[in-house]
Amino acid sequence: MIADELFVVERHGRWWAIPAAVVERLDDDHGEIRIRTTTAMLQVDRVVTLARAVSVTASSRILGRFWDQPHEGLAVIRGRPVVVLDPRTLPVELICEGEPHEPQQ
Amino acid sequence: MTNVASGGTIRCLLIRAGECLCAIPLTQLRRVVRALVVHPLPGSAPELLGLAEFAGEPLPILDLATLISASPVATPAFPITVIAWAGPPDRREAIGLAADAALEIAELSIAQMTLAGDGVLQGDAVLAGQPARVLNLEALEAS
Amino acid sequence: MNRNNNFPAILGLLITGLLGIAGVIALVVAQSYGAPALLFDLFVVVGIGLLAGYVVFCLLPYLRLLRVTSEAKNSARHTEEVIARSLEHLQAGKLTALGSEVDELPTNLRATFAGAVHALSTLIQQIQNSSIEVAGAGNGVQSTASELASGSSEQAAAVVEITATMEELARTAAQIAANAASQAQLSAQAEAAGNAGAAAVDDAAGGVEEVQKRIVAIAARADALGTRSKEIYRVLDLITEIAHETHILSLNAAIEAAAAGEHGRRFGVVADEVRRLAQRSQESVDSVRNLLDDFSGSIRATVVATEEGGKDASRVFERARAAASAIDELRDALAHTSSTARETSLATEQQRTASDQVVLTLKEVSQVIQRMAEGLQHFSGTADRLNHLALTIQLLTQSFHLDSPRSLKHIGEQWAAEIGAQAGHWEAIEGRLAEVVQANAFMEIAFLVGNQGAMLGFSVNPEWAAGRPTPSNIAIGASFADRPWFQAVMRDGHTIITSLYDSMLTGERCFTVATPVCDSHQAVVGVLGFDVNARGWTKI
Repeated sequence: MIADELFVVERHGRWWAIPAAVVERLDDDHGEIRIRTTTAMLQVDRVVTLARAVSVTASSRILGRFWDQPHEGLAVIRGRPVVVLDPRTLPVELICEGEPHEPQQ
Repeated sequence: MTNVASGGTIRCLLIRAGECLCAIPLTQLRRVVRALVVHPLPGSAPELLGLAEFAGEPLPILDLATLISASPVATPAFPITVIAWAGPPDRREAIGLAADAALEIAELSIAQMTLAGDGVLQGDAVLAGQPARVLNLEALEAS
Repeated sequence: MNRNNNFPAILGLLITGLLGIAGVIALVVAQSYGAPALLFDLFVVVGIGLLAGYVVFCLLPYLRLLRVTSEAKNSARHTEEVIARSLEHLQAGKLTALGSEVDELPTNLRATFAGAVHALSTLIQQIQNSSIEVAGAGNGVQSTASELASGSSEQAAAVVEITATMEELARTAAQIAANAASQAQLSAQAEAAGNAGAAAVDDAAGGVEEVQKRIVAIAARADALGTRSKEIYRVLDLITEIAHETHILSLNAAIEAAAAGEHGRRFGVVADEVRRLAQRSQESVDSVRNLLDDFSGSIRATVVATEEGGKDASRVFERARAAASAIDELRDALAHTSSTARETSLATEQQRTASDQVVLTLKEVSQVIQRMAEGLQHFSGTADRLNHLALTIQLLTQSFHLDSPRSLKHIGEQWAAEIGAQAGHWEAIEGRLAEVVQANAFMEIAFLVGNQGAMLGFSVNPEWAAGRPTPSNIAIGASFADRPWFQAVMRDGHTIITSLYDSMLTGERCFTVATPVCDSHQAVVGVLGFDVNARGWTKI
């Protein structure tokens, strides 16, 4: 699968990829970057890049056995493996504090 | 296991993982490389070290010693990552197994192997004069 | 006087002769000129005139003169007698009696004589006072001389002790000087030893420094070897890595061979060979590594040993420097000690010389003190003689009877007159004797002896007695008839003063004043006497 645009963000040293389609707004509030998506308000340390035409590998079943975070797939961006997130089920560490988050199925 | 060599022997790669010596059939291996840079995933199981990049592809990396419940030993001199095929042959996936060292190729005699079960640890055998645990990565997805 | 007495006679003879000659001439002339009667009348007139004049102007004055002369002779004779009596009184010392004699002298002599008597009396009183003062001064001088003599004796004794102490000090100073000289010599030797030690330490420090430099050089070479070893290790690591990579490569080749199946068998063989080659390479690398480890270990040990040696050398060098510094301080101290010892030796030598000089000086002082003591002894004797002389002069002046409370004869005769008026009333007489003794501090004893020499009564002055027993010979009824003073008074009838003698009561110098006691008929009924303490008399 080729993803058109992916926002690659960094949080606590980990890179995550978010489909650009679900990103509504990016705010920089005194160094705190907040991303408004269609499903949640995210807080990240920095926005690494906006990657285009990224080849996304389907999620690994074996990976799923050892890691229960739902995701759309895996990609390699700038030589680094990145998890392409499902906007509906975002990792807790990306959710902005105080924001309610319930995984949407 | 498939691809059993002639004479009832399987050519296996002997791998040191912690205190254990593991034997993985060559047919289940793709490549042996230096230890890859692993990027941890939050909330993952102990066996999963994280993701690594190999040949432009994202690869889950498992800790072989943790996978087979082997006690860790001192930091290895040349840690390796074994790129292996895991899962059933029709939908096998490439994974990485972090190990301490890749030793040598040994011939495994099926008849001399002591079977352990249907899981990843298939059995025990004496290879290159040392006791070794025979792994079957085809059963990794199911177990 | 003889010429004056003969003058009228001669004048008379002369006039007579002239008249005779004039008469003869007149007669001759008359006869010559034939007028003899006129001339003779003239002669007679002239002659009568001359005779009258002679009588008036010569004879009568001459007779008056003879009368005056006679009166003068009588007066002079009287005056001589008065003067003789006065001289007798004076000889007897009775200056008071001279007053009545002065009145019988002629007016022109009265004042002069009275003045002379007064002057003599005054002089004698002054001599008495002066002699008393001199006697008192003599007593004081004698007392002072005795004190000085005593003090001189004490000083002499002290000087002897000081001299002995100074001699001991001089001996000690000599010993100290000798010790100081020895110390100076030892200090000089120590100083030389210190210099030699400092030089040795400097040499040692220099040697240590040289060793340190060599150690540093060895350490540098060891470091260089270590660096080479590190390079070799890097090469071995590289070879090891290459062997490892080769091994992995061989493994991967075997994996690929296995994946190729039958087509990969020969490739698998090659892979095995490559793997074995890699293994041998690894083994060789391990062997070389072991050798290099041994070599590196040796190098490290050498480096460590060299570093330790360098540290030891540094410590030794520091200790050598510290020793050099200590030796320098020691040398300074020794130099100072040596200098001080020399100064001490010089000072003690000077002290010994000074001590010797002090000893000599003390001996001279001792001699001076000895001479001073002798002088004081002589001075004391002189003072004693002066005192004795003053008392002697005093006694000589007391031989004069003056109307003065200082005249013992005068006051003695007054007391004798009082006692004589109470003759027969023994209680009154004893009471008077006691009063006299009490009233006159110079008096040791007052006594009354009868005209036969027997003691009739006496009174002892308790101040002089001071608890002493009354001499045994002084007792009522004791005979003093053999005493010279008794005999002189009874013989001459006037007050006498004895010479100085030692009192039987006090043992001090005293003299006795003895005066006759007369009754109403001026008969001597006894002798009043009192012993005068010379010291007490000089204090009045």
